Amino acid sequence: MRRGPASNALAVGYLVLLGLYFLVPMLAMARFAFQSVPVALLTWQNMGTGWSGAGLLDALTDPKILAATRTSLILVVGAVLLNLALLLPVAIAVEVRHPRARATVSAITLLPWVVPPIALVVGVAATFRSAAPWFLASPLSLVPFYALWAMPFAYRALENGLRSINARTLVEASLSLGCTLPRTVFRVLIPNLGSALIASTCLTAAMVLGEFAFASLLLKQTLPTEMLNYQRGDPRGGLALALFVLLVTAGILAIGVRALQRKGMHLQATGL
Amino acid sequence: MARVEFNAVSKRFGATQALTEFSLTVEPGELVCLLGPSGCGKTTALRILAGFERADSGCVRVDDQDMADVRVERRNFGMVFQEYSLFPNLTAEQNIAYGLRARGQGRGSTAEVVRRMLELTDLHAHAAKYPHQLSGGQKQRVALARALATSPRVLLLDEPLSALDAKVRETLRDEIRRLQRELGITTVFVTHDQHEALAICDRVAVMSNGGLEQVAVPRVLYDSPANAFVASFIGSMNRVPAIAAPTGSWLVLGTMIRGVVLTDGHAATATALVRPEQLSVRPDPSANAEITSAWFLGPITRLLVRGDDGRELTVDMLSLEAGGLRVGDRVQVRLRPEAEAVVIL
Repeated sequence: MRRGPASNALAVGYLVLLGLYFLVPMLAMARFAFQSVPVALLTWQNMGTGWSGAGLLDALTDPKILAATRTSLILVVGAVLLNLALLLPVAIAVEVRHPRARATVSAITLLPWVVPPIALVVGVAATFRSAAPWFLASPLSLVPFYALWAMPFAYRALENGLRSINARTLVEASLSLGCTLPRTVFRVLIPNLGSALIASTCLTAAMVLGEFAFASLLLKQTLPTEMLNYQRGDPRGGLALALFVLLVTAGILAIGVRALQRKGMHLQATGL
Repeated sequence: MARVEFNAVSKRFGATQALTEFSLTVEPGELVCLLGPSGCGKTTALRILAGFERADSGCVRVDDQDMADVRVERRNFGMVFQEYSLFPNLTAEQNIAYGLRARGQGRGSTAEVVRRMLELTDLHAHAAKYPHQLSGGQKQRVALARALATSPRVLLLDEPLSALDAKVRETLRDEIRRLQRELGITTVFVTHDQHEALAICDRVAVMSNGGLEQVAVPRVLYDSPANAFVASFIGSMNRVPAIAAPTGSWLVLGTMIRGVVLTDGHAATATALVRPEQLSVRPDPSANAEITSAWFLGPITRLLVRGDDGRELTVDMLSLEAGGLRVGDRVQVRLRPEAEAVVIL
């Protein structure tokens, strides 16, 4: 269908507005974080003067930030592994053996988003404080919360991936050729689920790196909570760090997406 | 070569009765088609034989062994699916070798079998290609080679040609039949395409509503259907009045025939099911019927003839004979004298 010039102009105008909606706050953030000019004196005329990365460098070398980053990365790995260990067998079982349970299981995976973090933390804390206090003392106690919190996205990525490779037929073909189910999972399903596994991992990682409520409520020092603390002492450095984390996360996602596209994988089927 | 028996197999999915007391024997080395409309239970029967579903009652035996408790991976059946089921991460030859490797066969003997299968299916040039680099027909040939590589006791084909275009479908259909004959492997072929079934099967089992309507060689099925369902499902039929004659014959469209009588009792009138190719037309300006449509289909020409009483008949004639006939011509419709296989209901 051919569109008229008025319609084209409207579309371009809409896209420009959308771009500005994202870019203007980012630019403002960048100027505040990286320009050594008092906020009241920031104008279009001094856009090119006084830029410095010293604040960011200070933040990146801060021992507390480094420790919190390490903790967050460990939590990412833990949450990803726990999610895959819990969700992959369920997704395979539903897709291959019990396709009629799809809607029910899909609804169940949404439940973590129905319960507010505060209710979840209070309930779990009340249970574990007396039964297993060591659990809440460790920063790793956040892993199950994060795995649960990322579950709706991670499960959908796996479910879509399994459906897009027609997992049921592949499993039946493999079984009919004399392969057992566990071997089929490792030799056929997992090698063909690359895009879904990467999507699930990226989504879980993005959730964990940006999560604040659980960590704050359980008094854990993760990257988001520590960034807030740091910003209280050095607002410019804190904001520079936030911008840096945002760009690094976006960069990793872009590299992942590019790698998947090069392999000819269907991104829309994985939720990315 | 194995003998397959379904003994009174029933299966229900929720409120749907998929199979009811289904019994069928497939002799060693035979190719039997399960043919029927969608939802008639043919795929369910195949999946129970393959081990993907369990029968609610009845049993499936292969060489007198009850298969109920034999796991899918231990049945040693080969299966080709309707959907392309090649493993996307493996090349064509790795796909063919998959079953052999799963059974722990050595590299040397696996390579030898793979080479023979590639030769049998004429896939040598595509051995190193991945599934996404193959056409639909090539994919199904690899799937067939993969299913045959393990020397299965029974070959199961679940509508393997339905996703292919007409020309490729015909070629692969003949290839399946050639390989099945060469290897002498007992084969169950599920299809809803009657031309496919009639063209390559030793016997055809026509199914409807989870039950078996008739099992017969294609010619018998076509000429002597056991009931009205089979008669109307296989090929196309015209319904015309038949009048009983005292000699036991029937008068159909002005011709006396004996027919294949399915009606019981001694009715004076009945309905005759007449195939389009059993009719012929002759131009006659005073006749009480007119050609309303004509389709040239290559070797045959299909005519739609409407009588003055409003009844429509489909007539298939050799194009050589139908050359002079035009839409609007008044014609007389006759039953060909050699048409004995007319079903009287």
